[in-house]
Amino acid sequence: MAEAVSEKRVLTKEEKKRRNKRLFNYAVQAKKPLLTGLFLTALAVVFDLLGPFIVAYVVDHEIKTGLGPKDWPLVFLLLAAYLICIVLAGTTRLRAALNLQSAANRIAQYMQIDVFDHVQKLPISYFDSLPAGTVVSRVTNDTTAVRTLFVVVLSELITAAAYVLGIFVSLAILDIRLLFISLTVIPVLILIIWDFRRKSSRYNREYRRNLSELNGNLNENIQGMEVIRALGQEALIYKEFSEVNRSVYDADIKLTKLYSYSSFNATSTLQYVMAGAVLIYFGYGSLSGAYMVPLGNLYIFIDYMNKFFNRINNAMNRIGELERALSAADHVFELLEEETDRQDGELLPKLKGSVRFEHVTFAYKDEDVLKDVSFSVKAGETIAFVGATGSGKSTIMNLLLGFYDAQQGEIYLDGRPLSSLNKRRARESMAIVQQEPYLFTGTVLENISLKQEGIDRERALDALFEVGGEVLFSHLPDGLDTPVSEKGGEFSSGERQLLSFARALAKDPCILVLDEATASIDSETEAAIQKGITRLKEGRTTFMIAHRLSTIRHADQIVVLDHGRIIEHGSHEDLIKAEGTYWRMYQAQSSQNGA
Amino acid sequence: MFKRLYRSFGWFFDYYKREYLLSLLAIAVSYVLTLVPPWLVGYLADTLTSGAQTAESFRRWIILLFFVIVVIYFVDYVWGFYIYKASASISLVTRQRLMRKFLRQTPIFYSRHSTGSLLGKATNDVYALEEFAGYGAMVFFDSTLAPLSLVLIMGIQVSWLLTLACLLPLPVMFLASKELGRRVYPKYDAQQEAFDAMNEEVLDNVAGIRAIRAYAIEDIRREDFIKSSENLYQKRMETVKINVFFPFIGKVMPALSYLIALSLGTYVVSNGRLSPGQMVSFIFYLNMMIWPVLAMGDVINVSQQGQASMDRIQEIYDYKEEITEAEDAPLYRGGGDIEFKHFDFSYPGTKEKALEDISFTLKEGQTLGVVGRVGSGKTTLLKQLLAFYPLTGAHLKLAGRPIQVYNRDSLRNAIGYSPQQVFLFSRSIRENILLGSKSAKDEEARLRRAIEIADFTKDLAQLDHGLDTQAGEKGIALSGGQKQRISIARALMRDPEILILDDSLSAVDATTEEAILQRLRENRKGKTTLISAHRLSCVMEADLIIVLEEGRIEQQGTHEELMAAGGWYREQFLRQQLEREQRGGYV
Repeated sequence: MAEAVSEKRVLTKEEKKRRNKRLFNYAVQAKKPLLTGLFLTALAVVFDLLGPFIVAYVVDHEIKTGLGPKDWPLVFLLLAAYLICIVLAGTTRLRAALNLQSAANRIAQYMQIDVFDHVQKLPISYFDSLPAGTVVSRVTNDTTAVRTLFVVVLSELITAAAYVLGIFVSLAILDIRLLFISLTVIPVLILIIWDFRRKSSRYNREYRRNLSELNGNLNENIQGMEVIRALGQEALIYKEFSEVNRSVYDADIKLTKLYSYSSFNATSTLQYVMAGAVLIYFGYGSLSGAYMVPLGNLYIFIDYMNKFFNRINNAMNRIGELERALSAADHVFELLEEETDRQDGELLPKLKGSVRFEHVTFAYKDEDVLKDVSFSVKAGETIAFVGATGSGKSTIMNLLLGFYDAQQGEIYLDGRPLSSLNKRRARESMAIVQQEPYLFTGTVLENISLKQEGIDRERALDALFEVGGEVLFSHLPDGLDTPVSEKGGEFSSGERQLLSFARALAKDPCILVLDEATASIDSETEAAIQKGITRLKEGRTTFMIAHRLSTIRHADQIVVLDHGRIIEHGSHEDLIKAEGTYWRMYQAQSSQNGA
Repeated sequence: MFKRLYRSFGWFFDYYKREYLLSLLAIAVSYVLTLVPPWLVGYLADTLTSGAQTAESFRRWIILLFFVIVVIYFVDYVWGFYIYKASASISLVTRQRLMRKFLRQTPIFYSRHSTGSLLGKATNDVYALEEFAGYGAMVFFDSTLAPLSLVLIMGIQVSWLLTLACLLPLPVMFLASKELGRRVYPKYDAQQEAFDAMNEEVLDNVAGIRAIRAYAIEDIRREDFIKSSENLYQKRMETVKINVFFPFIGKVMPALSYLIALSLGTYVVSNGRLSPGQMVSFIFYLNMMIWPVLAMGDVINVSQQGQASMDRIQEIYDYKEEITEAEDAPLYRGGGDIEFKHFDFSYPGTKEKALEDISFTLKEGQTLGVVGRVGSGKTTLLKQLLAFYPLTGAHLKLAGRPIQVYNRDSLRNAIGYSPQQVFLFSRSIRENILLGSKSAKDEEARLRRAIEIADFTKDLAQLDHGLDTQAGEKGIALSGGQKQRISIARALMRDPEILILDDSLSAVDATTEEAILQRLRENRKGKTTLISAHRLSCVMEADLIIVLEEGRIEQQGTHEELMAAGGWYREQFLRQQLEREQRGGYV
């Protein structure tokens, strides 16, 4: 879908200019290998074009039918020079390619890192709406495509340009009329390239689009096969598939036609025509006696045309990639222009842990999910939030962590407004246990320590044991070094929860956020880690959201939320006495537990 | 090797005889004609220098040359077009065949082949075939017929000795490029691995972004990322370091050939056997040999890949369907009782019994409720009526006959099925529902009615494009309950003899559930309905309720009987009632 959107969008001239400037700036970052590569390319062209001159000399001066070479040593000297020329051309080309490829790969790497860094600074809200795969693709696939851009532009197009220039200069030196003959090819060639580029990009796009539709169709039908068969709709699905398949074929045929009449076939015809033209020139001079063209020059011209068209063909073959690469660059730069979270703000030393919300109002989009919320927590206290789904509990946590900014009101940490603080520094004093904790690919140890300095094996293991993870640990085949695969799929949600408790404890935060932390743990395990939670809360300011009210009754404060507003606030005893919503919920739950 | 290739690919040539023969003819003409221009250059150079050429004869030669150029252009067009047309047709036909095969398979096949691998066969492997049939055929001719014609002309025209001597470096070039290819392959793999690793790492960072922010470990993650990006750079450069040698040997080896030609040629010339013009033609011919020699490597690669892909595709073609049905299988004409008698079932390839000793009879027109814990076999039981799995004996009878004897299409046409995992296709809601229709007659009216029964009418008003709203992966996000109700409407479209709702109401709220069940009762009088559910309210009105536990029937009877009997059903029913009240009372 993303591709379809960008296809429609046509860049303005300024946008293109800006994009090209940015690409240029990246190129500047790799200027050393780049310039070396370009210099060597030019050198290689010189050597490569020198070779035919030597051959021509031998043909013109040393080979005379029936006479034999006039000067054997000279012939061997010339032939040795030819070999040296070619070997030098080969080696300099090789070194040139190494340098240019290295430059292109470095540029891709710089771009990867830039995009990665940018992504790390984007506001959380950015990730709410965009599938992870798209973001990943920007960092990896698109930068790879941009690398192709540099490889193509640098290795192919610039080499081609160097050859063209070199050939024209050499021809001018050799015989200015040969240059004029060769120049006649240019307009036709431009026409061919223009036509080829236009059509190949259109047909290629059509082909790729149809192919991706075919993939989608296949993917969906394979996954939905049971339904298709149960509904007996095989014939309909087959018919639809055939249509898509046919459209791929049709686009394929269009490309085939284009490649058959244009591309290599057209340029090699031009090449023959050039040979014919030079023959006419040669023959006319000889027949009329107006001028003599040495056979060697004829050879040089035809050989140069051969090199010239080889280069042109190579370049033409990669024109399609160029376009794809440019659109990838647009994607990358578009992402780089997304506004990031502010990275500045006051750098507080480690927080003490008092938190105050003052008249906080917040909306993700239009609708307020928090309305005029105020409360205050002293360092070391525990505050719990209850309410139905959508009442705003998780939003409070999101604001506290600085993932979003409140539209009205202010949040104070240790008496300082959060909006003026460096959020990353502030988060260093916090830890969160989410309802669905995220496990990173790596090992158990890495998931507890998150590779933070100062959290070694011992501390990680202590943390795991302290939150009640002995049983989990005993199941780990390689202890702390047990690998964790993609998103921790091999761990149950309860186990993931335990690991994230250990992660939080190992960090030793002064503010702890428990977001429905025990929801996915069965009651047996919960009893076991209840001790751990108590241990975890010791001496820390704790924000809790819990579905089971039994887990929060000992909190210092309980806040009851309804549609973003605080409707009740106080200790468990206060709220029970008040016989309000909390009391009703509590009654309901305890009777259920009794049943 | 060629025999094997022919066995796998013989059908290409049978299929596209005309295209291939035409191409072959054009290729032959093309190869002969491309020899003309280089020869003519040498010939004209010699005769012009020696004065043997008149203006008239020269003009004729030039006209001939341009005529040849035009003919080459056209024959090259013909063979290029037809060879690639044949290859495009091959991929078209292969995909059609694969799809036909896919559409005949049961869930057993799909449990043995992952979606990814099937997709790979229908895309990448088919592409490799296309490559083999098109590009492969081209380079095959280029690297066999073309050098043959070149060697012949060089030998006849110039000198066999000189020709053979000059060709010496070319086998070296071929071997060297093959060796480079052998060395670069593992590097490509390593490069791909490094790329995949980086991909995975970035995904980890994006998916775990909240955890990363909350723990302020951005810098640590960054360092890791830079490491893998540096690793990718290194791996890419390792392939580059080998790849740059391809053009190198492609340049130096032919140069050695020219060198031999020039030095030996000068000698031969001095003996009066060779003219300077012929020498020039000879060098041009040598130049034309480079590509065919390099193409030989491609022929080998492309045909190996083509062979491997064909094998993978053949594996699908050769897959034997688990279920074969007799040509004269009787049609299921609707109605009749459903009888299970000591019915056992294991999924193919497993030993464990998913269903064991199931016995009950559901009379025509009755409603069955199936309940039980997760994994107790509810879905497995209901799916038996779709007859996807091979059965033997008469343990499951429908209308008096073992179910497996019926013509499968007639059986499935009589069933309306809404699976537990709702699957919506990437098309409009209307089209999704119409997939359940078996005839175009009164389709619109039946559609309205199905939507009405499935209680989806009220949702339509909220959707921007109503029935034309796009569903499925690329469509709008529908709630679980909405999806389930679309699926129910789809099942109802054919007004089925037998309706199967497999846990199809789990995501709808209590009021909607009640409304749907009520309408089903009104509209399906006299027709058989099977419902499985976690919420017992869905089945309490059924004529027969079955409680499954680990594939066995633990209890059966009506709601009243089961409540009176006590046990799992009663316990569960009471607990659910309580939960319901609580949810209703709170906030």
